[in-house]
Amino acid sequence: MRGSLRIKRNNSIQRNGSMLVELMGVMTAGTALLFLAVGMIHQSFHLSKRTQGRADLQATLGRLASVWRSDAHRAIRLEVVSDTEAQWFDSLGEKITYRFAGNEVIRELSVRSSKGAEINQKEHFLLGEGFLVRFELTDKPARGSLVVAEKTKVIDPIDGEWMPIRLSVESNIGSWNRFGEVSR
Amino acid sequence: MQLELLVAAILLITLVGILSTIGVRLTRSAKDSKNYQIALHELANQMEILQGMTPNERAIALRELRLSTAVSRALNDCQISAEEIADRFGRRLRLQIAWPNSVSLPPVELVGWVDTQEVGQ
Repeated sequence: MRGSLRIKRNNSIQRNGSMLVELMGVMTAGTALLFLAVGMIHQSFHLSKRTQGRADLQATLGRLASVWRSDAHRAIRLEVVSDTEAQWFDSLGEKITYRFAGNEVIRELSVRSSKGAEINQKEHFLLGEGFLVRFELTDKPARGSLVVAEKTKVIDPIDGEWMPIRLSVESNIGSWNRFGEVSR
Repeated sequence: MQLELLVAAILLITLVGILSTIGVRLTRSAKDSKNYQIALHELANQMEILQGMTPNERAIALRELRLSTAVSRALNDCQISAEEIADRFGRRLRLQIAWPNSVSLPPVELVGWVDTQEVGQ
C-alpha cells in the first residue's frame, strides 16, 4: 500500500487515457474536416458535370452552325416566318424548317418523293435552359443569320441591357448554286 | 491522435488549395473556350462576306473591317485584322482575332481563298 502510493506520487503526470476536453477538440476538428472533405467531393462532382455540359453545348452549337451554313449555301431562298422559325428552300424542292422550341432547335427536312409522298426528317439540337434563338434575313447581299444568346442580361454602361451571344452565324444564301449552274 | 489530426489537416488543406486552383483554371478555360468558339464563327462570318465580294469591294471592306456589334460586346477589347496574301498557292485572306488582355492565348486565325477559278471555267 505504501509502495503503490509512492509510485503514484512519483508518476503523478503519467496517464493512460485522454482528457475529455482533448477528445472533444479532436472530434470537433475531425467533424469539421469531414464536412469540408464531403463539400469538396460534392463540388468536384458538380464541376465535372458542368464541364461536361459545357462541352456538350459547344459540340451542339458547332454542329448547328455547320448545318446552318451548309443549308444556306445549298438554298435558293430563306423565309423567316417569325423570330424563332425560318425555312430554307433549295432548287430540288426541299424545304428545311428551323424552329426554336424552348430549350432546343429543331431542324426538319421535308422532301417530296417521286410518288408524291412527303418525307420528314427531324434533327434536334438540345441547348438546355437559359437560351434564346433568333433567325434573321438580311438583304444585299442575301444572308441568313442564326443567333443563339444567353437569357442572362448584362448591363452595358453605354448601350444598356443586352444578352451575351453564344453563337452568331451569318451565311450567304445560295453560294453553292453557281457550281451547279456551271456543271449544267 | 493530435499528430494524426495535424497530418490529416495539412493533407486536406493542400488538397483544398489544389482543387481551388483547378476550379479557377477550369472556369477560365471554359470562358476561353467559349470565346474561342465565338471568335472562330465571327471569322467564318467575315470570311463569307469578304469572299462574296468583288476585289474592289473587298479592298474597301478590308480597310473598314471590324467585329460585329454583338461579338465585340461578347469579346471585350478584341481586335480583328486581315491580311491579303498572293503567292504561287493563290490569292487568299488571313483573318485574325487577337486578345490584347491575354498573353497566354494565341490569336484565332482563319485563312480562306478568294477569287478562285472554278473547275470547268
